[in-house]
Amino acid sequence: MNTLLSTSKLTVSIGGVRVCDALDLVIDPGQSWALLGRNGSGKTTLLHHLCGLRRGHTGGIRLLGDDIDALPPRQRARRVSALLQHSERGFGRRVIDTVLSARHPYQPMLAWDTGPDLALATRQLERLGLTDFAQRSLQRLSGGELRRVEIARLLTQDCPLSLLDEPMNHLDPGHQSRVLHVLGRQCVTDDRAMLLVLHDLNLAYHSCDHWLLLAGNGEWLAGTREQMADEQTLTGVFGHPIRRIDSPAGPVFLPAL
Amino acid sequence: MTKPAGALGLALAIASAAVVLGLMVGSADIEFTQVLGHLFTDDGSVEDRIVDELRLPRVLTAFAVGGLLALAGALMQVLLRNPLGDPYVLGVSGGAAFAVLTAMLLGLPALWHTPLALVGAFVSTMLVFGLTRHGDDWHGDRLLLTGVVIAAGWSALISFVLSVSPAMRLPGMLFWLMGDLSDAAAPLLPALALVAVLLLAVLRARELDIAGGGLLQAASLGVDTRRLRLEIYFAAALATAAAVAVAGAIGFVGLVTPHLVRRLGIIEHRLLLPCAVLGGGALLVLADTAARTLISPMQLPVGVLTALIGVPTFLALLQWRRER
Repeated sequence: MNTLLSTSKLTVSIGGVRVCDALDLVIDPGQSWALLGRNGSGKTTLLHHLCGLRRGHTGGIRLLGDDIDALPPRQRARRVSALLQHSERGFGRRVIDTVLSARHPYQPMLAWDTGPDLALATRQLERLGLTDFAQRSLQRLSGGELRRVEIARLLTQDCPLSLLDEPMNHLDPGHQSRVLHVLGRQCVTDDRAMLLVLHDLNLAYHSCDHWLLLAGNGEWLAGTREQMADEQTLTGVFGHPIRRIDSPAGPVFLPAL
Repeated sequence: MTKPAGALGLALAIASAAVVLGLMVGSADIEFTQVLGHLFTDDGSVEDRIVDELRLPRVLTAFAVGGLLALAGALMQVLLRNPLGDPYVLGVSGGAAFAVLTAMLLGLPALWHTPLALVGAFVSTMLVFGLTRHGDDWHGDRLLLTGVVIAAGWSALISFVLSVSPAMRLPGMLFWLMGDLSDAAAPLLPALALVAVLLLAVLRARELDIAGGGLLQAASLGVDTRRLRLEIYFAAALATAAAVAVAGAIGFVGLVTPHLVRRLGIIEHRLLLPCAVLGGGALLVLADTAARTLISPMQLPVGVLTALIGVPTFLALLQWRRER
């Protein structure tokens, strides 16, 4: 079993906020991680560092054994895919072209999209209920439809490690469930893992077996969800009282209103 | 017919029609069939010489300059993901124009204009780039603002040069500043620049498509955004400098043409770039034909006409987008 991502003594800060001090994180295949923390604690920043989009940290990040900052961009993009927090519609490309652009790291400079690429992209659109949208311009999608297109693109990138920043943004409950199901099937396998930035503790509990908590002052906690998901820990991390109610269907987390 | 072939065919047809019209119309109107005859045979007549020695070089120069400006605009719009992308708005034209006007003020020979325009455009490019570091600028706002402010600076310097220029030289300088093709009969340099920049840009077409959806996203898809940003900006600067050196400061071609092409549903750059070049070339040939015939025998600066055509076209495009 090869470790997908490991950090050693990773220290990240941005704009005077300590995101994490000496973070030692190991993500192995078959794991799904939730990255949780209050607003402004640096979840997005940390995610950008973990997928090589930002530099300027101390300590090391290794992606499938190699230093992430030493990997050429295309090789890096074959190992880790990222769903960013904010969507851009650009100049209104078609949905299918946008999804196919995830094959860029695998294609030579002047190649047209090949049949297998098109088949892969079409299959991911179908999984996310977007078949009828393939020829539509991004400009003419709703926020939730655009989010699903971006998730289809991430799946088409077909990487061992997937990092998703608030994947549930703009999605209705039905699509949240569908997306989590597809992500669980596609991105968490014998040789794959994912990390999701989430705000909903219940979604995090049901979809992720490991949690990484950021306190906002550089302190962090990482472990299985059972080690993390108690009232005292969560209340401390979020700075707000959180109740855990155990039910036959599993625990339910309720922030005090 | 597939969509790419259809779009390219349409653009080629429009461009050819514009070129032929530019060859036909003038102080001596020449019939369509005769123009074609004069192009391919040499009978030594006056009309033959008008077509081969006067109109053809000028039409080809106008076409190359228009193509360069449209290409520069298309590239900068990707960089900024903003409809304001244009070598004018970002100060690249301003730097080139300031350099050439200074040369005119000092009475340097016209031979110096091209290298000086290049220097001006690249100085401006490096200023904008030096002031917007990679990573600060995932959204293009900072780049746009920096470019706009630097353009304003060049504009002030140009006014300064004009205000200290001797009255004798002023009309020529003003005409040039407004964009003028009346002395332009050397299509070779702009045509070479056009081919070089178009080739580079088409090689990067897929990366440009991806960058159009955001640079951070593009980086996560394996595009070397640092390199791409640098390449686009310098390619656009080269295109702008070649255009400005030949024809002065012509506005609106770079702004309007890529939008027109996108309105036709052509978004992918491997198709958009050649179509924009053909469209921009056609637009400038038509504008220049009007510039030399509207109040003939006097000539208008072609920049006046591109703006007169460009302003209503752009406003109409914006309205159309709102109604859809």
